[in-house]
Amino acid sequence: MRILGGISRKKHAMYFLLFTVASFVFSSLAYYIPFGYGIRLSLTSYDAISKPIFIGFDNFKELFQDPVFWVSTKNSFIYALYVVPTIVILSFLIATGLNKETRLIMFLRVLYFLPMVTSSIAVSLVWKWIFHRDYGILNRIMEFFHLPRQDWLGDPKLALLSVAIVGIWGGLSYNIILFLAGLQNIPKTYYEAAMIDGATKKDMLFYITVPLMSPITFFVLVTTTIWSVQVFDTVFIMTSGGPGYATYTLVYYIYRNGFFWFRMGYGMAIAWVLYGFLLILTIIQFALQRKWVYYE
Amino acid sequence: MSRKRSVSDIVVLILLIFGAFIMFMPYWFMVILSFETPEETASVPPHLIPHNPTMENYRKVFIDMNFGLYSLNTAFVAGALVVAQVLFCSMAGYAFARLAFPFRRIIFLIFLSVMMLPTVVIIIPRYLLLKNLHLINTLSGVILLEIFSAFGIFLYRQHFLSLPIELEEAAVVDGASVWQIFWKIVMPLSKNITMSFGLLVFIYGWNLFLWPLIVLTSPEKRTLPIALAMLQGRYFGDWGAMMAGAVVAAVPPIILFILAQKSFIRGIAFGGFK
Amino acid sequence: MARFRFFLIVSLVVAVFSLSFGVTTIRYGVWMVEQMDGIKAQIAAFEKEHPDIKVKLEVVPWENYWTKLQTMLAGGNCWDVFAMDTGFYMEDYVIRGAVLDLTPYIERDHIDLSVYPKMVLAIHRFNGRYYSLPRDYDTIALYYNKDAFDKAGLKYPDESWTWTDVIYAAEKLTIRDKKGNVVQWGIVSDPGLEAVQQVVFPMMYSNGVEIIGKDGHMNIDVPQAVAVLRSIRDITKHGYAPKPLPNIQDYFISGKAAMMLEGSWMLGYYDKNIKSFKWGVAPFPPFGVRATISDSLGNVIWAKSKHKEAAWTFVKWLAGKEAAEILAKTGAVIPAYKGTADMWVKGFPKEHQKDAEVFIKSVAFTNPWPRALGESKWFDRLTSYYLFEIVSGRLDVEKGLKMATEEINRIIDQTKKRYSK
Repeated sequence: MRILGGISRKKHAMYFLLFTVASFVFSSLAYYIPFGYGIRLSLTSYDAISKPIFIGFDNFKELFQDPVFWVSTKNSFIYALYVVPTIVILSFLIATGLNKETRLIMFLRVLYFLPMVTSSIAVSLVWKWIFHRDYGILNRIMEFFHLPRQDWLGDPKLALLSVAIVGIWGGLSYNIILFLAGLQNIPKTYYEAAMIDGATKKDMLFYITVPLMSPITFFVLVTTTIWSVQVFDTVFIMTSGGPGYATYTLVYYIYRNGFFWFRMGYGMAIAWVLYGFLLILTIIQFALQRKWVYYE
Repeated sequence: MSRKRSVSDIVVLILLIFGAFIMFMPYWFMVILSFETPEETASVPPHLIPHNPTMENYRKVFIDMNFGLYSLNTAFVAGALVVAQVLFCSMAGYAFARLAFPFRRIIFLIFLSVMMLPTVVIIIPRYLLLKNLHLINTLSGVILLEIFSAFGIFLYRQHFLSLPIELEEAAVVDGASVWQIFWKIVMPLSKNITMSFGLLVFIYGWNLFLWPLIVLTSPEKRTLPIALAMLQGRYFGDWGAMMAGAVVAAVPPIILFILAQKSFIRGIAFGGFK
Repeated sequence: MARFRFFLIVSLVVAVFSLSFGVTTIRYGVWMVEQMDGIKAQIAAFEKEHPDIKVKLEVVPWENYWTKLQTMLAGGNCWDVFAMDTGFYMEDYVIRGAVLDLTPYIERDHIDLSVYPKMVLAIHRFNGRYYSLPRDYDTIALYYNKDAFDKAGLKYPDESWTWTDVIYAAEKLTIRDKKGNVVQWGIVSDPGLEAVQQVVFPMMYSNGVEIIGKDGHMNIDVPQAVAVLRSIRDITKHGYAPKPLPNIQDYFISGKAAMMLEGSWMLGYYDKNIKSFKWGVAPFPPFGVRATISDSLGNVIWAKSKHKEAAWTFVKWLAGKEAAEILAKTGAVIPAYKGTADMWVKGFPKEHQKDAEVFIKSVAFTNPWPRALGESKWFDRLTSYYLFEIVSGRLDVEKGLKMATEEINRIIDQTKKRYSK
């Protein structure tokens, strides 16, 4: 990486500061200050109206005995289990299918990409109607195939799955684009050479495409995991955490504590635990990547 | 061999079309329900096209519920974010690409490290910080803490590194200042990336939810996603109106996306890679 | 630019004018979407009488009201006056010092408190202080769909009905199609029978449960309470009532339920919106002794409001006769002011005046909302977990109520400790 030549060191430093000062200010406001403040906050009991009271690690102690916290944790992870593998596999397959430039395919691409640009709230409202027990279209389809009607959002066994379906639907687009970009970067000559050697389509998929795409797959895996554990919007709109606590997730529980029950310190403590979970997940994935990610 | 291949191609194509149909289905119902009367939205089985199309829901949403104002608020938030992020990210990106400074690499890594800190983790202290700045219930408050984008800085830095430095150095020889070089030479060469990034930021800002939900309290400050969420409730079990609102929120980004699909995808693909 | 300057001048002029005339604007927050007409009429009348005060109305539906209120209070930018569900949530706001103690104002202006029903006034009193004045009150009774009863060949419910009659009728009124899907539920609340205010608490009162004891602790792990919940669970189990749903939806108004336990606040709404069938109201059918439950809304003033005097003027007016009369005419809720309840009854068409009277007469045997510290937290635990699971049949009644009582009392103690200073 080359530095711009012909300018004095002093000028470099001066312009560097001029060009980055805003970023220093805004990053501090948005991240570094809240981060530091959040550490202190999690050690207090604070209702945002009266004065905070320092209580040491009591929030964390309470958290480990809090059944709702554990239910929310479990739900967040089950949600991730529903969503992450499905998204990684489906978006990969769809991207390989869409990796052509015919007019029809280009049109289909637009349809696949739409959810990414649509407000998750607008989307959740429609899905709420689709899942509606009495007049939603999904139960209509179930009946059409002579399957029993389901109470998609009202049955505790199904509610989280229903929310996850919306998560999958909404999360595919972004990852399809990533995979598509990756596919287009694979030199055509690889396939041509393989064809000459008499490789079948399946061989090419498993011996060329999959290994070459593994770095992107890894990226998709990590980002989708982090994204899915933080699910909030769909839960907020479609179920409000219900029925019972069937769709309470960690972020929803943080929100309830912080902005409904006057418990900002406690909410912050949960947030740190969530952060811990995310870091651990990422570290595990990085540790495992050596086993399967192929770098050229 | 070749016949077999075309059969499998057709199967793939049919599956793809089926998938696209599922991706599109919610949009279909969003639009048709928005043209239905309350009785029709509750009809069993649901209608696939409205039998008595009505504009009443759109009237409700715009006249009774102020969605015009909410659209403006949303556009303001999204627009301001585009301007601020493009400006500050490109400048910082340039500094990290071309300018010397002690510990430059480490500073860059510190900036990038915020990508590892999801904003929901610090949403409570963010809120309290905004409270101390007396910016609760202001659109500027929503915008202020969303201006910094590590992704944007990274994106611009990578792009600037790919530009031929000789051009800039020739300008230095001609006596141009770094400031002039940046605005007169570098930025004009970065229209594509700015377009891609700006589009991403606009759609991000347009659809923001949790943060404005807690920052904005009075009705006239609402953005579209917030206003939509507020349509739910016992006496508002009005699917037609909700769907009309959803259409209002969904359509502008979709139009932008269709018009500038290539830029958009380039932005994502570029950012996702490295 | 020119346009911008124009706006600047206009807004300056407006600002100067409002200063010179001393107009104070106060913000008024409410959730009662269904009472909008009445509230707007009240504000218009108030502003006419008090040209120096402008009221800016802000409506947030119930589902988001309390979150919004919390963020506004925390942000130090709240409504000057806002509606308070006195039974449910008031105490949590009082102990945090978020609402203004109105007692000094009441004494200063010699407000006559005898114009409110005693029981209703009691809901607004905390340790001998008043933070709000009664706006309205409500009672719970049984709504029934006359057409459904006619079709089933059953007699309409009346004051002789007990809970046993309800179960019997619910069975007869539940209709299924060939596939076994329920076409019409026998009985609902909104939407399952786990609704605390409309079903569980009044029935517990009826069976002699002292929900919150004198020591401020919850007491619902007693046999009388277990019996009540067993009955509710069994009705749900047999499919006469829908299983609890996360989202409220109105089965009664769509003709999909023959009976509904609901509050007086729905009467006006149903009167206007139910067109396709005939309906009536009967007193709450007793499980043991005759009982129902009441809550009362009041308007409170934000403790940090900059316009306390103007806010008090407004709150005082809202608790007065004229405001009550406007409220009465709209039919939305029963106004608390003496004599205006009759106006409320008369505001309905002939066929439903008797139904309205049922709610007024219920005051004779009503009970105040059970109140204890930490309610904004434990109420959610009680409804979204314990009652929800018990009524759905996934949690044993006795065990569930025991766990609920223990946990809620823990929350009450914690809250007490946190705010003991």
